[in-house]
Amino acid sequence: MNVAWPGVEHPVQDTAVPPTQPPHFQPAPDFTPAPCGSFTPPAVAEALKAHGAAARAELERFLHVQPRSPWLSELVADYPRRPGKMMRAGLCMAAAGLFGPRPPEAVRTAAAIELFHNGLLIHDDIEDDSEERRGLPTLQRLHGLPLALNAGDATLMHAIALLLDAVEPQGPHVVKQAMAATLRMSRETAEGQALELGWRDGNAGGLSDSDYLEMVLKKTAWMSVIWPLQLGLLIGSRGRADPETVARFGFFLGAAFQIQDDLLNFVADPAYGKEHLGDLYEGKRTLMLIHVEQHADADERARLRAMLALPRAGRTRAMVEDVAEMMERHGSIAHARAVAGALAGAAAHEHGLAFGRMPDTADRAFLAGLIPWVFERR
Amino acid sequence: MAGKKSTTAAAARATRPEAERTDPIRDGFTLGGLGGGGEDVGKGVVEAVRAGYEVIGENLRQGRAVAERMAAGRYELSDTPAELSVLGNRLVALGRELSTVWFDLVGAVLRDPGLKDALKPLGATAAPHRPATEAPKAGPMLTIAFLGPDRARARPVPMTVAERPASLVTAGFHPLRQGPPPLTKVRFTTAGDGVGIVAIVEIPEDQPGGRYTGTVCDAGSGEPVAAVTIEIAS
Repeated sequence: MNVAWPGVEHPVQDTAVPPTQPPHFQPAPDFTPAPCGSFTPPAVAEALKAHGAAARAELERFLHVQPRSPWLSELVADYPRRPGKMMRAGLCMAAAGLFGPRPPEAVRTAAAIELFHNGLLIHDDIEDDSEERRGLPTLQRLHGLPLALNAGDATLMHAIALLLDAVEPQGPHVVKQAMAATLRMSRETAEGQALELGWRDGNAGGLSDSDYLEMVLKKTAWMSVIWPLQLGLLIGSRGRADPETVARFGFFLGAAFQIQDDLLNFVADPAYGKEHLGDLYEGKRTLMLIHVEQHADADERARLRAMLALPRAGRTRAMVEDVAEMMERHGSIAHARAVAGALAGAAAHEHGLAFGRMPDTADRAFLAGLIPWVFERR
Repeated sequence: MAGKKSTTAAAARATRPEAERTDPIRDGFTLGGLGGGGEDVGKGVVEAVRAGYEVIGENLRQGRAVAERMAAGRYELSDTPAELSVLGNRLVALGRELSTVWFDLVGAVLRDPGLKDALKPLGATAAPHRPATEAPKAGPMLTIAFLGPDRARARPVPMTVAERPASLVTAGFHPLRQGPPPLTKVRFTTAGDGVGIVAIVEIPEDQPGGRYTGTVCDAGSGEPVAAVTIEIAS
């Protein structure tokens, strides 16, 4: 039976499908250490630098042409101009290059993602009452809460405008899919942030590793990994690839990233850019905190609960260090490291499933190289 | 003399300092064996990965359910809190009023060439026009229907219309995981409403669960016109 393409004259024929051998399947990436002992291929740092520089230049161009508004323009431009790793931009650019030459829309999309991320950071810093961001005082410490909050709103709106501008040349079907992915990410991120804040403010106890992973999926993985990958995939395939293909890889990579971020909070390194043991001061429910609550003895648990019941300002250095030692003693930090490693393994497995059929390009290798980079970034 | 020098040199010989640690540093990456650590996987690690798959699986299931409801037009304001319902109804009413105003305005413009000219320049602040870069021509939707056990699902995908459309072909839909056979029994037909195309995919009773992907191509040019992902429940 012949059927016609709707709206065209030529017939579409029923086609017998010839049995073919499945294309070569590339399994999960194989990691071997470089002579320097690092598992992260040097190309990862180079690609991050190149993608980051391109997105940063596009973002700077966008910020430069915005009308100057007193008490707003400088605040909006502040965080994007501070040094960052630009991981989200790199994810988007790499995913956009998986299907062939990277479309020109990719760099503006990557810039929009970074701007959106910076808008959320302003709000996060307010919600967490953080003191530092990327080694400098947070926006609300510099300008006060009302102006910082307003700048956060404006930054998010600017990011949406930039994203629309970026994807518009690819046609309405790509715009629609990009907006659907953005709305999904926004909802998941808000729900994740609500979970974390609710646990902290309600002094939640009895949480499990699954609870933590659900929160991390929503709060971190969607915004930081899944969404940038999805937008890159949409741009690179011109709307033909299914964005859900990368969700599992994005989740496992994002979860490993967040746990490692929580672990880095225990390292007093100025290069880290965040307050040493700041998560404990904030009462953040990390995997280590959940683990130590499950394994502490009665006295320790009472001290832990007492500290968590206090407002942030009431938590002293001695209390925070007591809990940190408790975590070390009960293997909570080792547990978090083990879980992060396991999730990285799952990410490598999912990388093979999501990208195994694609050509062996630098972009595919970059996405695999991000798995060890999560642990070795400084 | 030589013996004294030798004794002095021995006393001043540099010695290896005590090692700060005797165990290898095992971070999350090497601990899991991924980076060559090679240790046995502990119960906690197994539980973490299992929990991870459950969390992401449930999240994707919920997202798909919401998307299907919205795509099918079954998203109801009654599911939302009362305040949102009121707000939604207000927006609908406002939209209706604005449409009337819009049609009145278009009518006025069509009747009044002078007004049309006055509206023509969008101002100096308008963004410069950027030509679309190889934007694909929007084509009909490709919907996937299944024959066999009710375990398969797939999103409809937009198709790119080939320049000189011939017929549709596919090399089948291959599993992402190694092992299961590809889905090769596929035929195409027009959708009932005459707007799109339906790919009818036969799912064997014993087809293993998992995700299957493949492209649909235009036989004339060989160009892919749609990428299809099929998910079969176990």
